[in-house]
Amino acid sequence: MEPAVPEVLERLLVAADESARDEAWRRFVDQYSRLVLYVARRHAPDYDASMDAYAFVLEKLREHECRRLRGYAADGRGKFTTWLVVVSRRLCLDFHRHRYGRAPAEATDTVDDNRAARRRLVDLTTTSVDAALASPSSDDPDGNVRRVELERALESAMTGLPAPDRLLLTLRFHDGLSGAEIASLLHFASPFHVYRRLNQLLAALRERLVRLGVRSPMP
Amino acid sequence: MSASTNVTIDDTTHLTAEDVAAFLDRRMTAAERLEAEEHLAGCGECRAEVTAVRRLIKGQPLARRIPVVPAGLAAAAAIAFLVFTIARPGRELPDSRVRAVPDESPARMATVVPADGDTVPPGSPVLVWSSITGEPTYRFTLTDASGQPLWTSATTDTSITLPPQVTLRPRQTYFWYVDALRADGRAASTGVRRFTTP
Repeated sequence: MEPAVPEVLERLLVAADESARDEAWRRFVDQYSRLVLYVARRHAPDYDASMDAYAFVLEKLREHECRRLRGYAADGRGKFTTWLVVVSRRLCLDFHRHRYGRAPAEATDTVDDNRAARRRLVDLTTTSVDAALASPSSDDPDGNVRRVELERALESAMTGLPAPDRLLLTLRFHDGLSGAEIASLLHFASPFHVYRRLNQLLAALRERLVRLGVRSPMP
Repeated sequence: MSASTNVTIDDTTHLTAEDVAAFLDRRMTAAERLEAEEHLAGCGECRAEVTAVRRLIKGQPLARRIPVVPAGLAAAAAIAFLVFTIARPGRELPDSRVRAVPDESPARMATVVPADGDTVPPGSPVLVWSSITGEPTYRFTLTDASGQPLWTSATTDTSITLPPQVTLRPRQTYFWYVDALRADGRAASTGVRRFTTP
Protein backbone atom coordinates (compact mmCIF):
# COMPACT_ATOMS: atom_id res chain seq x y z
CA MET A 1 0.00 0.00 0.00
CA GLU A 2 1.49 3.31 -1.07
CA PRO A 3 2.36 5.87 1.61
CA ALA A 4 -0.48 8.38 1.87
CA VAL A 5 0.98 11.04 4.19
CA PRO A 6 1.82 14.10 2.07
CA GLU A 7 5.16 15.78 2.49
CA VAL A 8 3.67 19.05 3.68
CA LEU A 9 1.90 17.19 6.49
CA GLU A 10 5.00 15.24 7.44
CA ARG A 11 6.96 18.48 7.74
CA LEU A 12 4.26 19.95 9.95
CA LEU A 13 4.23 16.96 12.26
CA VAL A 14 8.01 16.77 12.66
CA ALA A 15 8.64 20.54 12.99
CA ALA A 16 11.05 20.95 15.90
CA ASP A 17 10.34 24.44 17.18
CA GLU A 18 7.69 27.14 17.15
CA SER A 19 8.93 29.01 14.10
CA ALA A 20 9.31 25.81 12.08
CA ARG A 21 5.80 24.78 13.13
CA ASP A 22 4.41 28.18 12.08
CA GLU A 23 6.12 27.97 8.70
CA ALA A 24 4.97 24.37 8.17
CA TRP A 25 1.43 25.31 9.19
CA ARG A 26 1.43 28.21 6.72
CA ARG A 27 2.44 25.84 3.93
CA PHE A 28 -0.18 23.31 5.01
CA VAL A 29 -2.90 25.97 4.97
CA ASP A 30 -1.70 27.21 1.58
CA GLN A 31 -2.03 23.74 0.14
CA TYR A 32 -5.34 22.67 1.65
CA SER A 33 -7.31 25.90 2.19
CA ARG A 34 -9.18 25.49 -1.03
CA LEU A 35 -10.42 22.04 -0.09
CA VAL A 36 -11.44 23.02 3.45
CA LEU A 37 -13.16 26.13 2.16
CA TYR A 38 -15.01 24.08 -0.44
CA VAL A 39 -16.38 21.80 2.30
CA ALA A 40 -17.21 24.76 4.55
CA ARG A 41 -19.16 26.48 1.79
CA ARG A 42 -21.24 23.37 1.24
CA HIS A 43 -22.28 23.35 4.90
CA ALA A 44 -22.96 27.01 5.60
CA PRO A 45 -25.98 29.15 4.73
CA ASP A 46 -23.97 32.18 3.60
CA TYR A 47 -20.50 33.51 2.92
CA ASP A 48 -19.82 34.78 6.45
CA ALA A 49 -20.92 31.53 8.03
CA SER A 50 -18.75 29.52 5.65
CA MET A 51 -15.70 31.64 6.49
CA ASP A 52 -16.41 31.15 10.20
CA ALA A 53 -16.73 27.40 9.67
CA TYR A 54 -13.50 27.40 7.65
CA ALA A 55 -11.65 29.18 10.48
CA PHE A 56 -13.19 26.75 13.00
CA VAL A 57 -11.94 23.75 11.02
CA LEU A 58 -8.39 25.11 10.79
CA GLU A 59 -8.40 25.93 14.51
CA LYS A 60 -9.52 22.40 15.39
CA LEU A 61 -6.97 20.83 13.06
CA ARG A 62 -4.15 22.74 14.74
CA GLU A 63 -5.23 22.41 18.38
CA HIS A 64 -3.44 20.05 20.77
CA GLU A 65 -0.38 20.01 18.54
CA CYS A 66 -2.33 18.84 15.53
CA ARG A 67 -3.83 15.84 17.36
CA ARG A 68 -6.28 15.03 14.57
CA LEU A 69 -3.64 15.27 11.85
CA ARG A 70 -1.39 12.98 13.87
CA GLY A 71 -4.28 10.54 14.10
CA TYR A 72 -4.44 10.42 10.30
CA ALA A 73 -0.67 10.01 9.97
CA ALA A 74 -0.73 7.10 12.40
CA ASP A 75 -3.40 5.36 10.35
CA GLY A 76 -2.64 6.52 6.81
CA ARG A 77 -4.87 4.05 4.96
CA GLY A 78 -7.06 6.44 2.96
CA LYS A 79 -5.86 9.37 0.88
CA PHE A 80 -5.18 12.47 2.93
CA THR A 81 -7.58 14.61 0.89
CA THR A 82 -10.39 12.10 1.45
CA TRP A 83 -9.69 12.07 5.18
CA LEU A 84 -9.55 15.87 5.22
CA VAL A 85 -12.97 16.08 3.57
CA VAL A 86 -14.39 13.67 6.17
CA VAL A 87 -12.93 15.58 9.12
CA SER A 88 -13.72 19.02 7.69
CA ARG A 89 -17.32 17.99 7.12
CA ARG A 90 -17.66 16.62 10.64
CA LEU A 91 -16.19 19.79 12.08
CA CYS A 92 -18.46 21.96 9.92
CA LEU A 93 -21.47 20.01 11.20
CA ASP A 94 -20.22 20.53 14.77
CA PHE A 95 -19.79 24.22 14.11
CA HIS A 96 -23.28 24.47 12.65
CA ARG A 97 -24.81 22.61 15.60
CA HIS A 98 -23.04 24.85 18.10
CA ARG A 99 -24.08 28.00 16.30
CA TYR A 100 -27.60 27.14 15.20
CA GLY A 101 -28.52 24.31 17.57
CA ARG A 102 -29.20 21.82 14.77
CA ALA A 103 -27.50 20.10 11.90
CA PRO A 104 -27.67 21.76 8.47
CA ALA A 105 -30.19 20.46 5.96
CA GLU A 106 -27.58 18.38 4.12
CA ALA A 107 -27.26 16.06 7.10
CA THR A 108 -30.94 15.42 7.66
CA ASP A 109 -32.76 12.48 6.14
CA THR A 110 -35.55 12.88 3.65
CA VAL A 111 -37.97 10.68 5.51
CA ASP A 112 -40.68 10.61 2.85
CA ASP A 113 -38.21 9.64 0.13
CA ASN A 114 -36.84 6.90 2.35
CA ARG A 115 -40.30 5.52 3.05
CA ALA A 116 -41.11 5.54 -0.65
CA ALA A 117 -37.87 3.77 -1.48
CA ARG A 118 -38.50 1.22 1.25
CA ARG A 119 -41.98 0.57 -0.09
CA ARG A 120 -40.49 -0.05 -3.54
CA LEU A 121 -38.36 -2.81 -2.08
CA VAL A 122 -41.43 -4.50 -0.66
CA ASP A 123 -43.20 -4.15 -3.98
CA LEU A 124 -40.30 -5.51 -5.97
CA THR A 125 -39.77 -8.52 -3.77
CA THR A 126 -43.41 -9.44 -3.58
CA THR A 127 -44.72 -8.82 -7.07
CA SER A 128 -44.46 -12.42 -8.08
CA VAL A 129 -45.21 -13.74 -4.60
CA ASP A 130 -48.36 -11.91 -3.77
CA ALA A 131 -49.57 -8.95 -5.76
CA ALA A 132 -52.30 -8.19 -3.25
CA LEU A 133 -49.77 -7.72 -0.48
CA ALA A 134 -47.64 -5.48 -2.60
CA SER A 135 -50.36 -2.97 -3.34
CA PRO A 136 -53.25 -3.16 -0.89
CA SER A 137 -56.28 -1.22 -2.02
CA SER A 138 -57.92 1.42 0.14
CA ASP A 139 -61.05 -0.71 0.52
CA ASP A 140 -58.99 -3.61 1.87
CA PRO A 141 -58.76 -2.91 5.64
CA ASP A 142 -56.35 -5.78 6.23
CA GLY A 143 -53.91 -4.62 3.59
CA ASN A 144 -51.76 -2.49 5.87
CA VAL A 145 -51.60 -5.17 8.54
CA ARG A 146 -50.45 -7.70 5.99
CA ARG A 147 -47.93 -5.24 4.64
CA VAL A 148 -46.41 -4.84 8.12
CA GLU A 149 -46.24 -8.61 8.44
CA LEU A 150 -44.62 -8.80 5.04
CA GLU A 151 -42.06 -6.16 5.95
CA ARG A 152 -41.16 -8.20 9.01
CA ALA A 153 -40.74 -11.28 6.84
CA LEU A 154 -38.62 -9.21 4.47
CA GLU A 155 -36.43 -8.01 7.34
CA SER A 156 -35.96 -11.61 8.36
CA ALA A 157 -35.09 -12.64 4.81
CA MET A 158 -32.58 -9.79 4.50
CA THR A 159 -30.91 -10.70 7.77
CA GLY A 160 -29.62 -13.88 6.21
CA LEU A 161 -27.87 -12.06 3.36
CA PRO A 162 -24.13 -11.24 3.43
CA ALA A 163 -23.27 -7.71 4.60
CA PRO A 164 -22.27 -6.38 1.14
CA ASP A 165 -25.64 -7.47 -0.27
CA ARG A 166 -27.58 -5.97 2.64
CA LEU A 167 -25.64 -2.74 2.23
CA LEU A 168 -26.40 -2.67 -1.49
CA LEU A 169 -30.13 -3.19 -0.91
CA THR A 170 -30.17 -0.63 1.89
CA LEU A 171 -28.42 2.04 -0.16
CA ARG A 172 -30.81 1.51 -3.06
CA PHE A 173 -34.12 0.93 -1.36
CA HIS A 174 -33.76 2.54 2.05
CA ASP A 175 -31.55 5.51 1.25
CA GLY A 176 -32.80 5.86 -2.32
CA LEU A 177 -29.37 6.25 -3.95
CA SER A 178 -29.16 5.93 -7.72
CA GLY A 179 -27.29 3.08 -9.36
CA ALA A 180 -24.58 5.51 -10.44
CA GLU A 181 -24.00 6.68 -6.88
CA ILE A 182 -23.93 3.15 -5.54
CA ALA A 183 -21.50 2.11 -8.25
CA SER A 184 -19.20 4.93 -7.23
CA LEU A 185 -19.57 4.26 -3.51
CA LEU A 186 -19.15 0.50 -3.61
CA HIS A 187 -16.76 0.40 -6.57
CA PHE A 188 -18.97 -1.43 -9.04
CA ALA A 189 -17.74 -1.20 -12.61
CA SER A 190 -20.88 0.63 -13.73
CA PRO A 191 -24.51 1.29 -12.72
CA PHE A 192 -25.41 -1.59 -15.02
CA HIS A 193 -23.56 -3.97 -12.73
CA VAL A 194 -25.39 -2.53 -9.73
CA TYR A 195 -28.79 -3.18 -11.28
CA ARG A 196 -27.84 -6.67 -12.36
CA ARG A 197 -26.80 -7.50 -8.81
CA LEU A 198 -29.96 -5.92 -7.42
CA ASN A 199 -32.09 -8.02 -9.74
CA GLN A 200 -30.29 -11.15 -8.58
CA LEU A 201 -30.80 -10.17 -4.94
CA LEU A 202 -34.48 -9.41 -5.43
CA ALA A 203 -34.97 -12.81 -6.99
CA ALA A 204 -33.18 -14.41 -4.04
CA LEU A 205 -35.32 -12.45 -1.59
CA ARG A 206 -38.49 -13.58 -3.33
CA GLU A 207 -37.37 -17.18 -2.90
CA ARG A 208 -36.59 -16.59 0.77
CA LEU A 209 -40.02 -15.02 1.29
CA VAL A 210 -41.65 -18.05 -0.25
CA ARG A 211 -39.63 -20.27 2.09
CA LEU A 212 -40.80 -18.09 4.99
CA GLY A 213 -44.35 -18.87 4.01
CA VAL A 214 -45.32 -15.67 2.20
CA ARG A 215 -47.42 -17.31 -0.48
CA SER A 216 -50.92 -16.06 -0.01
CA PRO A 217 -52.66 -12.81 0.96
CA MET A 218 -54.60 -14.74 3.57
CA PRO A 219 -52.92 -15.59 6.88
CA MET B 1 -12.47 -0.69 12.76
CA SER B 2 -9.73 1.44 14.16
CA ALA B 3 -10.35 3.14 17.47
CA SER B 4 -8.43 6.30 16.66
CA THR B 5 -9.73 9.78 15.95
CA ASN B 6 -13.48 9.68 15.94
CA VAL B 7 -13.91 13.39 15.53
CA THR B 8 -17.44 14.21 16.50
CA ILE B 9 -19.46 11.08 16.92
CA ASP B 10 -19.54 10.06 20.55
CA ASP B 11 -20.80 6.56 20.00
CA THR B 12 -17.58 4.57 19.67
CA THR B 13 -19.26 2.02 17.44
CA HIS B 14 -19.40 4.47 14.52
CA LEU B 15 -16.80 4.48 11.78
CA THR B 16 -13.83 6.73 12.46
CA ALA B 17 -12.75 9.40 9.99
CA GLU B 18 -9.87 7.10 9.04
CA ASP B 19 -12.28 4.23 8.45
CA VAL B 20 -14.49 6.37 6.21
CA ALA B 21 -11.52 7.58 4.16
CA ALA B 22 -10.09 4.07 3.84
CA PHE B 23 -13.51 2.69 2.85
CA LEU B 24 -14.06 5.30 0.16
CA ASP B 25 -10.53 4.96 -1.18
CA ARG B 26 -10.72 1.17 -1.13
CA ARG B 27 -7.69 0.94 1.12
CA MET B 28 -9.19 -1.51 3.60
CA THR B 29 -8.24 -5.13 3.89
CA ALA B 30 -10.96 -7.58 2.95
CA ALA B 31 -11.72 -8.22 6.62
CA GLU B 32 -11.85 -4.50 7.43
CA ARG B 33 -14.11 -3.83 4.47
CA LEU B 34 -16.50 -6.61 5.42
CA GLU B 35 -16.67 -5.24 8.96
CA ALA B 36 -17.29 -1.73 7.63
CA GLU B 37 -20.02 -2.98 5.27
CA GLU B 38 -21.63 -4.88 8.12
CA HIS B 39 -21.68 -1.66 10.14
CA LEU B 40 -22.87 0.51 7.26
CA ALA B 41 -25.74 -1.85 6.44
CA GLY B 42 -27.19 -1.14 9.89
CA CYS B 43 -26.06 2.43 10.60
CA GLY B 44 -27.90 5.20 8.77
CA GLU B 45 -25.65 7.89 10.26
CA CYS B 46 -22.48 6.40 8.85
CA ARG B 47 -24.15 5.62 5.51
CA ALA B 48 -25.23 9.25 5.29
CA GLU B 49 -21.65 10.29 6.00
CA VAL B 50 -19.98 8.10 3.37
CA THR B 51 -22.60 9.15 0.83
CA ALA B 52 -22.16 12.84 1.61
CA VAL B 53 -18.37 12.61 1.52
CA ARG B 54 -18.44 10.72 -1.77
CA ARG B 55 -20.63 13.48 -3.21
CA LEU B 56 -18.29 16.15 -1.89
CA ILE B 57 -15.27 14.41 -3.36
CA LYS B 58 -16.91 13.97 -6.74
CA GLY B 59 -17.88 17.62 -6.79
CA GLN B 60 -14.67 19.14 -5.54
CA PRO B 61 -12.66 21.16 -8.06
CA LEU B 62 -9.34 19.75 -6.83
CA ALA B 63 -10.38 16.19 -7.52
CA ARG B 64 -10.88 16.67 -11.23
CA ARG B 65 -7.85 15.57 -13.14
CA ILE B 66 -7.84 15.29 -16.90
CA PRO B 67 -5.77 12.32 -18.00
CA VAL B 68 -3.23 13.23 -20.62
CA VAL B 69 -3.30 10.65 -23.42
CA PRO B 70 -1.11 11.06 -26.50
CA ALA B 71 -3.24 11.85 -29.53
CA GLY B 72 -1.94 8.85 -31.49
CA LEU B 73 -2.71 6.45 -28.67
CA ALA B 74 -6.20 7.87 -28.27
CA ALA B 75 -6.86 7.53 -32.00
CA ALA B 76 -5.58 3.95 -32.00
CA ALA B 77 -7.80 3.10 -29.04
CA ALA B 78 -10.82 4.66 -30.75
CA ILE B 79 -10.18 2.72 -33.96
CA ALA B 80 -9.70 -0.52 -32.02
CA PHE B 81 -12.95 0.14 -30.16
CA LEU B 82 -14.85 0.72 -33.39
CA VAL B 83 -13.39 -2.30 -35.13
CA PHE B 84 -14.04 -4.70 -32.30
CA THR B 85 -17.32 -3.51 -30.87
CA ILE B 86 -19.59 -2.30 -33.65
CA ALA B 87 -21.68 -4.98 -35.33
CA ARG B 88 -23.76 -4.27 -38.40
CA PRO B 89 -27.53 -4.51 -37.98
CA GLY B 90 -28.92 -7.89 -38.84
CA ARG B 91 -25.60 -9.70 -38.85
CA GLU B 92 -24.66 -12.32 -36.40
CA LEU B 93 -21.64 -11.62 -34.31
CA PRO B 94 -18.67 -13.90 -34.82
CA ASP B 95 -18.74 -16.78 -32.42
CA SER B 96 -15.41 -15.73 -30.90
CA ARG B 97 -17.11 -12.58 -29.61
CA VAL B 98 -19.36 -14.68 -27.40
CA ARG B 99 -17.09 -15.90 -24.71
CA ALA B 100 -17.48 -17.39 -21.29
CA VAL B 101 -17.20 -14.38 -19.04
CA PRO B 102 -17.73 -13.63 -15.39
CA ASP B 103 -20.88 -11.81 -14.42
CA GLU B 104 -19.09 -8.48 -14.20
CA SER B 105 -17.94 -8.27 -17.83
CA PRO B 106 -20.40 -9.75 -20.28
CA ALA B 107 -19.49 -9.83 -23.97
CA ARG B 108 -21.25 -7.16 -26.00
CA MET B 109 -24.11 -7.50 -28.45
CA ALA B 110 -25.16 -4.64 -30.67
CA THR B 111 -28.47 -2.86 -30.45
CA VAL B 112 -30.21 -2.01 -33.70
CA VAL B 113 -33.35 -0.01 -33.00
CA PRO B 114 -33.69 2.49 -31.49
CA ALA B 115 -30.19 3.91 -31.76
CA ASP B 116 -28.69 4.89 -28.43
CA GLY B 117 -30.17 8.23 -27.36
CA ASP B 118 -32.90 8.25 -30.03
CA THR B 119 -36.34 9.67 -29.44
CA VAL B 120 -39.04 7.04 -29.88
CA PRO B 121 -42.59 7.90 -30.93
CA PRO B 122 -45.49 7.27 -28.57
CA GLY B 123 -47.34 3.97 -28.70
CA SER B 124 -45.76 0.57 -28.35
CA PRO B 125 -42.19 0.88 -29.59
CA VAL B 126 -40.29 -2.07 -30.97
CA LEU B 127 -36.74 -2.64 -29.77
CA VAL B 128 -34.35 -4.72 -31.83
CA TRP B 129 -30.90 -6.11 -31.15
CA SER B 130 -28.43 -8.28 -33.02
CA SER B 131 -28.53 -12.04 -32.71
CA ILE B 132 -25.81 -14.33 -31.42
CA THR B 133 -25.25 -17.98 -32.10
CA GLY B 134 -25.79 -20.82 -29.67
CA GLU B 135 -29.56 -20.96 -29.18
CA PRO B 136 -29.63 -18.05 -26.80
CA THR B 137 -32.43 -16.86 -24.58
CA TYR B 138 -32.58 -13.07 -24.41
CA ARG B 139 -33.69 -11.30 -21.28
CA PHE B 140 -34.93 -7.77 -21.97
CA THR B 141 -35.06 -5.16 -19.19
CA LEU B 142 -36.53 -1.67 -19.33
CA THR B 143 -35.79 0.80 -16.53
CA ASP B 144 -36.74 4.36 -15.77
CA ALA B 145 -34.20 7.15 -15.43
CA SER B 146 -33.43 6.17 -11.84
CA GLY B 147 -32.68 2.61 -12.89
CA GLN B 148 -35.89 1.22 -11.45
CA PRO B 149 -36.84 -1.83 -13.55
CA LEU B 150 -40.20 -1.22 -15.24
CA TRP B 151 -40.56 -4.36 -17.28
CA THR B 152 -38.56 -7.49 -18.01
CA SER B 153 -39.27 -10.25 -20.43
CA ALA B 154 -37.50 -13.34 -21.76
CA THR B 155 -37.59 -14.23 -25.43
CA THR B 156 -35.73 -16.21 -28.07
CA ASP B 157 -36.44 -13.53 -30.67
CA THR B 158 -34.20 -10.50 -31.30
CA SER B 159 -36.93 -7.93 -31.03
CA ILE B 160 -39.56 -7.06 -28.54
CA THR B 161 -42.59 -4.79 -28.48
CA LEU B 162 -43.37 -3.00 -25.27
CA PRO B 163 -46.79 -4.15 -24.11
CA PRO B 164 -49.65 -1.67 -23.58
CA GLN B 165 -49.37 -1.89 -19.79
CA VAL B 166 -45.88 -0.33 -19.98
CA THR B 167 -46.79 3.32 -20.29
CA LEU B 168 -44.01 5.58 -21.48
CA ARG B 169 -44.45 9.05 -20.09
CA PRO B 170 -43.67 12.07 -22.31
CA ARG B 171 -40.30 13.82 -22.13
CA GLN B 172 -38.66 11.05 -20.13
CA THR B 173 -35.45 9.10 -20.51
CA TYR B 174 -35.62 5.32 -20.35
CA PHE B 175 -32.85 2.74 -20.28
CA TRP B 176 -32.89 -0.74 -21.69
CA TYR B 177 -30.54 -3.67 -21.99
CA VAL B 178 -30.63 -7.23 -23.19
CA ASP B 179 -28.71 -10.09 -21.60
CA ALA B 180 -28.25 -13.21 -23.67
CA LEU B 181 -27.61 -16.63 -22.24
CA ARG B 182 -26.59 -19.36 -24.67
CA ALA B 183 -27.39 -23.01 -24.27
CA ASP B 184 -23.74 -23.69 -23.38
CA GLY B 185 -23.89 -21.19 -20.51
CA ARG B 186 -21.98 -18.40 -22.22
CA ALA B 187 -23.36 -14.89 -21.83
CA ALA B 188 -23.45 -11.63 -23.72
CA SER B 189 -25.08 -8.27 -23.15
CA THR B 190 -25.94 -5.15 -25.10
CA GLY B 191 -24.90 -2.93 -22.21
CA VAL B 192 -27.24 -0.20 -21.09
CA ARG B 193 -28.84 1.83 -23.89
CA ARG B 194 -31.22 4.74 -23.59
CA PHE B 195 -34.02 6.40 -25.47
CA THR B 196 -36.22 9.38 -24.80
CA THR B 197 -39.87 10.11 -25.39
CA PRO B 198 -41.07 13.28 -27.15
